[in-house]
Amino acid sequence: MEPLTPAGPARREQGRRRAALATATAAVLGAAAVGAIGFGLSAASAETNPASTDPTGSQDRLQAPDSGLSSGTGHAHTGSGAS
Amino acid sequence: MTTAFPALGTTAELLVTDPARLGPAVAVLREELAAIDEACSRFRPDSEISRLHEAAGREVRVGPLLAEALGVALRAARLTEGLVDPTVGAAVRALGYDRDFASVAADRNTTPAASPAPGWHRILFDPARRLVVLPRGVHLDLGATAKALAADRAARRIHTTFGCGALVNLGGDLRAAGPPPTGGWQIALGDDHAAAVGRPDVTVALHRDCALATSGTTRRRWRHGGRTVHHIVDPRTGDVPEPRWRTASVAAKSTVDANTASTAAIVLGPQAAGWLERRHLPARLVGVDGDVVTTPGWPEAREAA
Repeated sequence: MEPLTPAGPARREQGRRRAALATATAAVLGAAAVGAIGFGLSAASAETNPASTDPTGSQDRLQAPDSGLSSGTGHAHTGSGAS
Repeated sequence: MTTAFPALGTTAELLVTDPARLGPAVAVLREELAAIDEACSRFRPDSEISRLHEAAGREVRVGPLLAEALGVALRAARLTEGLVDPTVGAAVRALGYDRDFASVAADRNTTPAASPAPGWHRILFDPARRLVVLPRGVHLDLGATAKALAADRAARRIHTTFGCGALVNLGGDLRAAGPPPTGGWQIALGDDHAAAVGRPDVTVALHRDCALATSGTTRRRWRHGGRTVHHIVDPRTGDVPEPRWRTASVAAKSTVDANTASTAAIVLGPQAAGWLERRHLPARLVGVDGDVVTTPGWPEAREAA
């Protein structure tokens, strides 16, 4: 009598095929995400990063202050240190 | 006039040159801090960055502020050649910093092997359309730059809105905007930003539209796997860097740039002074043994007695 559902080795084989299909689907979805490069997304790079939100910002370098620092008077308004 | 309150896991402090503007200026600061927390906090399941993590592998359109914070973080990564990399999130979590710091366990016995950060180049980002694809397994930590961005945004907005000079201090990351008081904003430097005013190593004056940030290894420390670790991770190893500096203070045009450089200095260790000097960034580095190294542009020492 033929079983109505696969049993034993047949069922395990079917399970392996489903698992393989799921893995393949995930791989395709992943590739599609990476493929988004072709639709306007690109890996983070110098060309795609937005300009610094600071009007004085630069894409080319970290910017030193214009006015800089000077020696303090010893009477502090606030502090800087590790946090 | 000044006010201080807890925010972003640290202390926010605001000083303005016009006392009448303090109240509305504080409201602006609180608004900016709430917005950056909602966009960038990795500790909040309802933050936008948490939703981005949940959507890993898929294209997501993010809000303007997260797009700005991500752009700033990627720029920092590029300009430091990956010394400050937003993809260190998994490494920081592996070291035990997986919740708000106040809740980080005192010690854990397991010590997972450190592994390098996946790398900022793996993030797909279209800033014009605010589209992001975060690869699966990549966890972002924008902590190094998002707090600094909040300081920049708030100080600029307060000055632009109210016309007065403003100084925003977020846990030792400072941004001055507009006219400072006569002689400049006086800043005490120390191991601990909260205690520096009472026990300064040195004081400096910060002038108009200038920023100062200090990164250090003396706070946000905890025991993990039988050793003391801290919150600054070397993306190249996924582990805490070799201890060379207690603190690194850097001045720059923006807090983002100052914080980027000070964090990079801690990661770089012995090479930090030369790296900062080549970028013309005034800095003061305090070694774990107490030795002090400064770069050109840092004012003559007037060390506290």
